[in-house]
Amino acid sequence: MPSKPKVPPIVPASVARQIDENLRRIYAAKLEEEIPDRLQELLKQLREKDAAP
Amino acid sequence: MNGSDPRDQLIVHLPALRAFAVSLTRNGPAADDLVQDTVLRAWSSFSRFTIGTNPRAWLFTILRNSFYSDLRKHRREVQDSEGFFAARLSQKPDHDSALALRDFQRGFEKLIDEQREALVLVGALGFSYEEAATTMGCAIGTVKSRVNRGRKRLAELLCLEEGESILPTDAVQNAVASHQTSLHG
Repeated sequence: MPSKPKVPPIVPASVARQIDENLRRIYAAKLEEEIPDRLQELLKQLREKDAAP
Repeated sequence: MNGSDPRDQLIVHLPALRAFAVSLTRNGPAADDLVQDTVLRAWSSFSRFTIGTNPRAWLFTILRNSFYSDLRKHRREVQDSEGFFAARLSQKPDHDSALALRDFQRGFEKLIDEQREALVLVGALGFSYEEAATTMGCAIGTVKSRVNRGRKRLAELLCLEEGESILPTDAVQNAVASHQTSLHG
């Protein structure tokens, strides 16, 4: 009976490194982006609410 | 106030939370809504935050749960991201490498959600397998398997073999270097 050989789904370390590097590149711009005003304002309001007696 | 105050951690992790939100929603405005929702939910849950909990995994879990419960509630259509990714996330100085990165993104978009999620956390955002497992609510072995299967599938989609480069790395670095020289020189 023919059966598929069980190959563990592992890529060589060098390929894994390249994939991770590309993933970091894709999200780098988002990580470096300024936090939008809307979100900054929300955090400010939440902090003020907490600080209020 | 000290470093373990989850309110401070929220601000520290906000950029990565936004990146994770983009990867889940595949849509910029929806990602911002999701992050805003996460901030509100986290803020109202800080009283239940226990010392010793990993704050990053805690915050990412809130974001992830929020996303999936919204998805179930509204059956919101996940919008095609290609335009968004291409325009917003890959502003690269070198044309050829931008194209190669776009191919990579197209391949990445073809992966199933669980694999993409695991790869974003572990590959792009540097989560440990343990942190990713906490965030995704699954076993560590499951995260490893998703990461491995995701990488394997991507390598197949992009026809990668050992020793072969996805991106012309030297070209990227040269382009960045000349870009910087032209800015500062």
